[in-house]
Amino acid sequence: MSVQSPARNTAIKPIFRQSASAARSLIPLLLALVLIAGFALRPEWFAVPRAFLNDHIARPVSWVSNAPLQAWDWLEEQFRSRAELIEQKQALEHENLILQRKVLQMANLIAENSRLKELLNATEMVEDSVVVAELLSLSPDPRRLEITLNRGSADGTFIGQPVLDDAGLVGHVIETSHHTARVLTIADSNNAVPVQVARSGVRGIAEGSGRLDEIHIRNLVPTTDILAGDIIVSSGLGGRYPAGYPVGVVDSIDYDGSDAFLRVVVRPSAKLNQSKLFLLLFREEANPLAETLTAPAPGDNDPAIPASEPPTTDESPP
Amino acid sequence: MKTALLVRLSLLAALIWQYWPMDPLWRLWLPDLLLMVCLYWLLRTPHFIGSWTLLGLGLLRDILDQGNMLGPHLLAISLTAYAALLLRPNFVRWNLGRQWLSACGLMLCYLLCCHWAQLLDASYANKPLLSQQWLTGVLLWPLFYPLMRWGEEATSPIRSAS
Repeated sequence: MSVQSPARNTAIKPIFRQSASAARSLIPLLLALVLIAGFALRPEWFAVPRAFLNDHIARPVSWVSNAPLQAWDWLEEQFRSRAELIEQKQALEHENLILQRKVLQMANLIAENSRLKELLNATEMVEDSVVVAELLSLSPDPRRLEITLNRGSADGTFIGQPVLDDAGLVGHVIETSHHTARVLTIADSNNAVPVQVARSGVRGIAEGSGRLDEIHIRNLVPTTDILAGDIIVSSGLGGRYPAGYPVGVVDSIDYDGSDAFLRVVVRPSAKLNQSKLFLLLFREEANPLAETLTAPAPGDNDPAIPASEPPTTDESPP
Repeated sequence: MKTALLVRLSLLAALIWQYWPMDPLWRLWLPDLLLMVCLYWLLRTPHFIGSWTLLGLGLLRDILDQGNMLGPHLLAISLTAYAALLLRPNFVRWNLGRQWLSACGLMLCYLLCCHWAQLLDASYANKPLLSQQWLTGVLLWPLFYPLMRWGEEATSPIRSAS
């Protein structure tokens, strides 16, 4: 049996690779520090790279993450029974009938409102048109109640644009890329909406609570005319959100005597954690007389769509 | 080879889990599985998680989290990885209790680094620390670690050869 020399021992290749050096993990650290310092000094430099990365990385990953759920929805749709579909069709027909009646009432109200505003010499009338957008992803950070929609600057989306769903105000756009728009919902603690009580006209500011199911109205004195069940609508003050859209319903009003103000909890009207389709609102100045003249006739199938559609309007879901 | 594949698959699965569409209330209690998987491989077989992997993971999380700034996750993961690699020589010799404590410390390090870096962005100024995520991560680690170890041993070349 021969004994190996020390020189020969050193030539033997190690079976296991050396463990990674801790210092190697400092390379990303340096890049992180550069990025953070860059953001602190020049935040505007990050807008374009972020938009690019959102379009080319975040959007595909969101699509992959959503794919199993979408596949499940598709399968569910395929296997839905004929009886169920007939039942759903009948329910939709009934709903359509009720909504058409409401639209007819609304048309009269719009005409009357226009005439009153004319009498008051209102300087402008505003007509809203919408683009339908689909939910792409929710913010993975549970502290940020934000959603990403599949419409971007290519569709005319702009920062500050109000967003609605079929039940009420959702929020506004805070960032756009070419194909996506990030929306800050009204429930986020960084958001505040000027509102008023539809019944009494009392104005206030509704602040997000950080929870999807409640927003708060602060700084209302105990003598304020507000009751549980009151409908809260946007007041239009501040110019960001248009007036008259439902924001929520007053859930509870607390006053313990130790505070100078009421604590009003509002349940948002918008289905913030359920809706998949949203409306991006575009505002166009319109001639009030023209609106009065184009008020829908009874039996009109789609009277709610304005007569003069802007080029960006797309009523069909993507 | 099999272990390398397992590392990649586990990271991919954790990434999909992390960004699975979910109610924010549930997400608040969701453990940071991507961090846990990353820590496991850093502490067990660090040569499979190189600096480029860390760089990619950190940047990807910054992009997918859709905050305004890039860097907080990258900073947090690189500092945590540095601490993990310093701890590693002793970690493999420690008992499970001490290993659990060090994993808790590393997860806390990640959480705090990320939170403090995010505070540079004004939109995070009034956001609370995600302590619930850390808590669930801490509670799940004693289950997660043996499960991962079982997977690792099942695919290790030595065991396969025997």
